[in-house]
Amino acid sequence: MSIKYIEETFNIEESDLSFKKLVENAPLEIASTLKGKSVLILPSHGHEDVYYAGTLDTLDFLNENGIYTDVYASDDEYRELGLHGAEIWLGTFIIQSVIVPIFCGVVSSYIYDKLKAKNDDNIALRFMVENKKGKTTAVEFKGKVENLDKALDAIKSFSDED
Amino acid sequence: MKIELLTLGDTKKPEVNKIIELLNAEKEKAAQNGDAIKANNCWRELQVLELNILFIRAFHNVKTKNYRGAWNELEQCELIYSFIRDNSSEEYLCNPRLAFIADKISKWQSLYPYCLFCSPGFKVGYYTCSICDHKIRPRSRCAHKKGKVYNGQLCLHVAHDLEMLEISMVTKPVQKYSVMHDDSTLDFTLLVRLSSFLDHAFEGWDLNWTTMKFPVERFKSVKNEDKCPCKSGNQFEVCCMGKEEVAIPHVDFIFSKPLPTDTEAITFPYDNG
Repeated sequence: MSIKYIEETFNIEESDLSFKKLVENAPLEIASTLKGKSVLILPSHGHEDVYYAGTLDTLDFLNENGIYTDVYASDDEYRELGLHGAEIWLGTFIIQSVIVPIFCGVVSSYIYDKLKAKNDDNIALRFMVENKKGKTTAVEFKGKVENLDKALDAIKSFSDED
Repeated sequence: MKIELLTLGDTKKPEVNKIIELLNAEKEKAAQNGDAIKANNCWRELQVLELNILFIRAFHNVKTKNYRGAWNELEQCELIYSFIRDNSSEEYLCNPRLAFIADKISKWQSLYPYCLFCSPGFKVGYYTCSICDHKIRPRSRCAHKKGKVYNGQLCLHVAHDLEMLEISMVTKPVQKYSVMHDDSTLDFTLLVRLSSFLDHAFEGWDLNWTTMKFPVERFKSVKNEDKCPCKSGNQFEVCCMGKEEVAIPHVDFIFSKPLPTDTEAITFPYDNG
């Protein structure tokens, strides 16, 4: 019996998403609450309305640690996707560059301390950083937790560019 | 009331049921009186008792070659321990029996040959709190945190309006019980070997994963097109067949008691292949 192991994915690309555009296109009932947030959690896995299981735990952890975060869905529209395997499907995040250093620390703490991730666990995430000039760069990472620093270092470097 | 829990026979003694009834009654009474600390303590003691019983059953099942049964019980042990851990002080977790079980669950699991599981993918409409029935939404929470104990009750989130999307085959499952193998086709030598030296579930032992080299002549039972014994995933023919020695995964068992002098030092898995 042979098993095909998925190799690591690490992509960096520019994105045309921005906080301003997201708020403008948001459902009316949440548009005002999204303003002023440092981080927004966006739908994942190619869906427009679905978030990974555990997203609300991530949301609470970020807010409890001083990072003002919200989910880009109204309470009625929010749905979760429970996926196969014990992989950590963290989700898609757009982050204001000014908060990136603190965000990296809190996210690391969430992954290692709260989720108790081990180095050989698989993790999938997409971090998008919008700098002060409105340029957004996206980092996609799928791989072992032990290599997660690649993604965190990359988004830290974008915040340094300001 | 004090009991000794060591063997499967101990777990079946009437005193065990009496203690469970007593703790449940105490928990209910404390919860009704608003004594949350006492109710939570009773919950914890009940969980620790259940954990001990399941761990003993798992050990017994390994000994009697019911490996799947033991696997499922070890998973239940893992879950119960995680709830105890998240609701206990570090001092409480240092209890030697509890620390022993926590240490051994994953070590027993690591000796299993299972590597393929099925895992469902589904969409969840919404969750409710198992304590107060509050509908959990992004901007609406109740006072209870998932995984924490309140007045003797564990808070869990109950999923509603589930839509099944797919079933996948995975190597690291959320639900470990979803094994896809037929046990009769698998090699449980490591479990047989370890359990043969242990008289009860709480005898001291440990393990150390490493590799050990053997001359290639000893792998005559491995066919050219078979997977290489070094576990690279490649065919033996293109991997280690041309080498003088083959390094294969090896586990050392360490026991707290002395073993009989005639004990075979090393078991080589390919001699009889």
